[in-house]
Amino acid sequence: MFSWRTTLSAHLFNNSPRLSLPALPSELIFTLLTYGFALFNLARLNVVALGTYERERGISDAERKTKDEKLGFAVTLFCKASGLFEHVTTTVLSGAEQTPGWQTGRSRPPELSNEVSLALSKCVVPSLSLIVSARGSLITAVAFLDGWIDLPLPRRNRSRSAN
Amino acid sequence: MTKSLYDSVVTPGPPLPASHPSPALLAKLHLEAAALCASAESLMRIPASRKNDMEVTESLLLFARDTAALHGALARKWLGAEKGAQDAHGMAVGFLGWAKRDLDALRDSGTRKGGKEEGRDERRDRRGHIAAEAEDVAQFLRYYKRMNDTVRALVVCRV
Repeated sequence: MFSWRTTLSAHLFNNSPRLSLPALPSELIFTLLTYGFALFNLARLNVVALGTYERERGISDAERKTKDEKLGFAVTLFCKASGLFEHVTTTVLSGAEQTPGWQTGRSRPPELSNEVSLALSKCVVPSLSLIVSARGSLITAVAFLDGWIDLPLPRRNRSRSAN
Repeated sequence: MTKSLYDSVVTPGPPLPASHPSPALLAKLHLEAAALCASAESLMRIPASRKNDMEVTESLLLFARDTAALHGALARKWLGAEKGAQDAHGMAVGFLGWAKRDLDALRDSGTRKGGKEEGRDERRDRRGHIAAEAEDVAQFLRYYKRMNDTVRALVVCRV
């Protein structure tokens, strides 16, 4: 038995009830999701701490460069979080459904449903592109997005509009 | 400091400097982000309709919906900027007015509600961000509206 609080479920008084869950995969899923939340929060804190430095006029080149690097670090954290949520959806959850005695006849917390973890991975991506387009450092953004996310734009189209 | 950053810091607002990242690309990014958020929201509503599952908390749903609306509005802003850059000022005014209405509605709804867990600072940050974007859109809108209302002579044929 493993016991976790479901932070994502709607409950009276927002008290996130503590559930006892059988089976090892549920422990694995909750651990991975918690790691993902931690990564996302860390990335957000990083971005908020940087502020809107690119709109400031009196900022030295060296300072700007270090802040750019910090922003890049935050972007990799976002990418990690998104990839993690997707991994939970595609690999871990589908594997877990094949284990015997998986969540039969009990109320399932939202963390263990396929749709919610997929939705989480989708929620992370816009905050990534929000930073990116607000910052105007578009070239790095496109490079990052290339590796991680399938943008619906065909490749030649993208290079034309990125001029 | 890149050239595009330098240009946009020194002369903000329309017309966009040539080194600015293409508004079409920005619009596509925002449209994609809005679509992702909207699909995330509808995915998160699925467990509520099943018998055995617990519902997803309201603040997460609100987050997804607000983010989708914000990205939709920003996509319209950049679509308007793109049309304006192509000298289609009427369409630019249409898109920008739409974006401005959306942003204003979003700002007003942001004052009314907001997750209980969301701190005061974060709420203020988000509202400030929306207000800054609305101001930016208003600047574009003023510029292109003036261009749209101005009569210009086109040289049709040169003798």
